[in-house]
Amino acid sequence: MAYVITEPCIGTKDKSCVDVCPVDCIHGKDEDDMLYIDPEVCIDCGACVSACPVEAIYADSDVPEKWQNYIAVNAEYFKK
Amino acid sequence: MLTALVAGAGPAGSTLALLLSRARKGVCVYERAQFPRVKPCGEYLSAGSVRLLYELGVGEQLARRARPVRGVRLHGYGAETRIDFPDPGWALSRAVLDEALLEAALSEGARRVRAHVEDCSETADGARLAVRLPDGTREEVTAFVVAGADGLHSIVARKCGLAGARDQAGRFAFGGHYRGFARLDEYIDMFVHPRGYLAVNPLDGGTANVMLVLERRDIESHREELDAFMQEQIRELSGGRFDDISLFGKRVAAGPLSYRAQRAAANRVVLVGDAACFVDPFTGQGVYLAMAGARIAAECIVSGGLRAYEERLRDEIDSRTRAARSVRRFIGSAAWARGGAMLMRYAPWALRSLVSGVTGT
Repeated sequence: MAYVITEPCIGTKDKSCVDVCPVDCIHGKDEDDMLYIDPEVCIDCGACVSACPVEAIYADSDVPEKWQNYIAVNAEYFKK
Repeated sequence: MLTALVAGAGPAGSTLALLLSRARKGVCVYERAQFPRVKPCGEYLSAGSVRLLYELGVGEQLARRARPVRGVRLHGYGAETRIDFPDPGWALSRAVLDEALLEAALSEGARRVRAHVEDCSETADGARLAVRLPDGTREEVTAFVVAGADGLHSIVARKCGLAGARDQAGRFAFGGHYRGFARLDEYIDMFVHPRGYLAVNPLDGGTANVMLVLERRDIESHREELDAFMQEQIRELSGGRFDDISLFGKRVAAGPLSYRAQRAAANRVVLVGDAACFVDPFTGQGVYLAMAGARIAAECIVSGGLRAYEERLRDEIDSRTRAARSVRRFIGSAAWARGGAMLMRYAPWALRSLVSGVTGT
C-alpha cells in the first residue's frame, strides 16, 4: 500500500505535502512538472492527503480510474 | 429526501446511522472500503464504550470476540505502577467492531453505498455529497444533513471549510498486530518517556496490538529501516521483555496527532469522530468519543437542533480528555521528566487516580 500523487499536482507543486511527510518520501526536482511519492518508503499515514490544496493525493486503492496510470508514474520516478 | 448522508462507516458513522434509523429517519452511509478492514488504532474500548455498545445492541455479540482489559501497567523513569479500572474495558479488533456496528445500522434500515466521497456543499434546504462509485461514475445526492464521519483527513471537513490546522511537528502513531508473546494477561502495558510511548494491548493469549507513538524527528532519522527501528524501540522500551515478538499483517501509521476541526458543525453539516477531533491515543477515548459524539449528533439531528451540537460535543470531549491531556503533558515534558519519576516512585496513588479517572470510564 502507498499513496499516489495524481494529475491535479501538475503545474501546482504546492509542496505542503513535502513539509508534512514524516518519512520524507515525496520528491520532485524543479524541472519536473509534479511531485512524486516513493511507494517503497511511504508508510500510509495519510498526512499528505489533507495537506494538498488541490486534492491530488489518493491511497493507491482509491485512485480514480482515469488516473490509474499515476500509480506507475510515481513508482517509476524512483527507479532511476 | 433522506434525513442524512453519512460519509464514513467507522464507529462514528455507523453509530450515527444506527441511531437515526432507529428514530425512523432515512439515512445512507458512504464508505470506500470493503469490510472487514484493518484500521490504525490501539483497539482499546473503555468501560464507557462497552456500556454504549450494549445500548446500541451489539454488546453481547462483541463480548464473545473481545478480551477484557482490567487495567494498565505504566512503566517509565525506572518505576512501574499498576492502575486497576473500576470497570473493565475491552481489547477488540477494529475490523470486527466496525463490521458489527455497520451491520447493526443496516439491520435497523440504514442504506449503504460503496463509494469514495469527493465533494460536499450546502444547498438552499439541505446538503449535498458528490461521490465516485467503484465503476468510476460520479453521483450527487442531497439530504437535509450531511455528517462527515470520514476520519482524521476528512474530505467533508475540508470541502465545507471546517478543517483545522495540522500540527506540523506533531507525533505519529505506528503499530500493528504482533505475535510471539510468551505470556499475556489482561493488562495493557504502557512504557512512557519524554518523547513518546509504547502501548501493548493484549488481543488474545498470544497476540497483541502494539502501538508506538513517536515524535517526527525520531521517525525522520530512521525512515529507511522503520520496521527494524520499531523492533528496536519495542525491545528497548520494554526493557527486553518483548524481544521475540514479530509483526504479522500490515504495519499501520497515522498522524500527525492530535487534531481539532475549526468547527464541528455548519448549518447543514456536522462532523463526528476523528473528523471533529482526534485525541492522543494515550487517552484510550478515541472510539468512545466517536460513538458518544455520534449519539449527540443523532439527538440534535432528530430534534432539529444542530446549533446545540458543537457545544455539547465540546463538553463531552473536554470532560473525557482533560485529565489525560494533563497526564500526557506532564509525562511528555522533558522538563517534568524528573518530576514524573518522583511521582511514580513516591506517590503512585496520585498518578493512579489521575489516570484512572481518564481511562477507567
